[in-house]
Amino acid sequence: MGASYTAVGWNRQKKNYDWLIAVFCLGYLGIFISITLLFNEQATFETLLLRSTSTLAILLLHVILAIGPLCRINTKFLPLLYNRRHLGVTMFSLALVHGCFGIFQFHALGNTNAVVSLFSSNTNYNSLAAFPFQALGFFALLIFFLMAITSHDFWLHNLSPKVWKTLHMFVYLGYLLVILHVMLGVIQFEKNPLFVLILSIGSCTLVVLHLTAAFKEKKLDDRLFALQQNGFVYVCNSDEIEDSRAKIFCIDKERIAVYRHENKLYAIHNVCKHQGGPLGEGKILDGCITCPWHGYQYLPQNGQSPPPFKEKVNTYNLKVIKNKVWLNPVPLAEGTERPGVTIM
Amino acid sequence: MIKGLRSRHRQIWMVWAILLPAGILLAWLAIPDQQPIRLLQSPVISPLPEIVQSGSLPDYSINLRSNRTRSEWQLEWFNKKVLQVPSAVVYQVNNKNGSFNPVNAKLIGRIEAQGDYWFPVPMDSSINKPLNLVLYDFIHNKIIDSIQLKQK
Repeated sequence: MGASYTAVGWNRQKKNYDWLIAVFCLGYLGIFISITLLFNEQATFETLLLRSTSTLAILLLHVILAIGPLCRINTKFLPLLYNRRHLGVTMFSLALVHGCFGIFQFHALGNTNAVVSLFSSNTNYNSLAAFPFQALGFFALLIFFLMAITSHDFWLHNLSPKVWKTLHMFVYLGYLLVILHVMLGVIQFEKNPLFVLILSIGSCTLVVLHLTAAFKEKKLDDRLFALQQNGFVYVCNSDEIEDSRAKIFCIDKERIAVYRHENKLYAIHNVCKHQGGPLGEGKILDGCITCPWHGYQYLPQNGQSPPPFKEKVNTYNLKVIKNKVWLNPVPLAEGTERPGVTIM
Repeated sequence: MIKGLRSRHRQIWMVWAILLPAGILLAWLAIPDQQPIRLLQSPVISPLPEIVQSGSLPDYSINLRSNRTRSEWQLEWFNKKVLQVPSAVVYQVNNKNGSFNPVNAKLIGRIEAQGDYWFPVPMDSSINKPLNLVLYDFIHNKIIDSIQLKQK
């Protein structure tokens, strides 16, 4: 959380995260190159560079895409989400090395412009086996480039979270293009079924994780609240909510987090203003509701970020009658002060 | 995340659950059967007994071989160094001094790595004269070397 522009708001967690990424990447590259040279002494520098960076980028892409659903399924994975964008930029950098070197190696040494050559040297668009797979990789790289350059919070604020999120959902298209780039490219020459198996396992894992998380969320969204009284909906008993934690309810279209703090209940909109993180899955730290994704904070009584920050979320009316919690799903204006409801 | 965005994620992955396996399967089925590599040079060829003509350059030495009845002819090519070009083919030309055009020349074989090569040479009356050879880089359309063999 920052009140002014800084390139990277470094803290201990971010440094540890980045060290881990660097050690993992260097370790992977070292092991990949050593094993390749062990089994194929004739492997050239070009081959080693192209293959080591591409396989690492694909591995990181799978990890990146798995983090989101894993966090929805189990909150223990949340630390991985905290600095996921650095992982994304690392993945893009590796893909860029692979892409640029590939273009240089296969297209830059001829008479035609390298990018023109990329699209004109193979035009077998009607053949699967001879499909111009490099074009698929080029477009995937373009998507990752747009994501990498807009990954900073500066762009998130300027584009608005909705536009930013929509733009970053193109990663799924990028992933599909990468899979087809590999399958219609190297797999057509390296016929070992092990490569197809590894790629299939990776894709299936992602599909299963995303659908499992999606249907878990859908169950929460589809829950019906039948008992209504003067616009208030019965949601749960007060003792079902742990202290400094929340329960999330989806009434009509939006999710609302009901927090318990120092024997009082507060209701705020569940969606963080930063990147849409689930505020109800966070906890109260230093008297503030803290988003589990990136640590954005809001005061429970008015949904405002503590000064000098300016983010605000909607608050909601609550009442407790005989230990039963009743919630009015009509949102109050963002930042509206509501005193907590005391639990009897 | 808002409900609309959650639904969009779900819809995308439901479509991807079909597209990803289908794409992988189709691409796998599209892998072409391996074509046998046909070399210009027969791998089991053995040198004929008599050297009829020969020549030498710093990077190669060349012999024209035949059997006793002169019914078979063979070009023997010793490649002393690795070639510095991606492609090199040997052509037989009729006129040593005339301009070279691959269309009018007779292709004998392809030279690749360092080593020894034997190419069958079709029976021809010109074989009684000194053989003119051109080593040609057909990617860059460039003559690498030319040599005229001498009678033994």
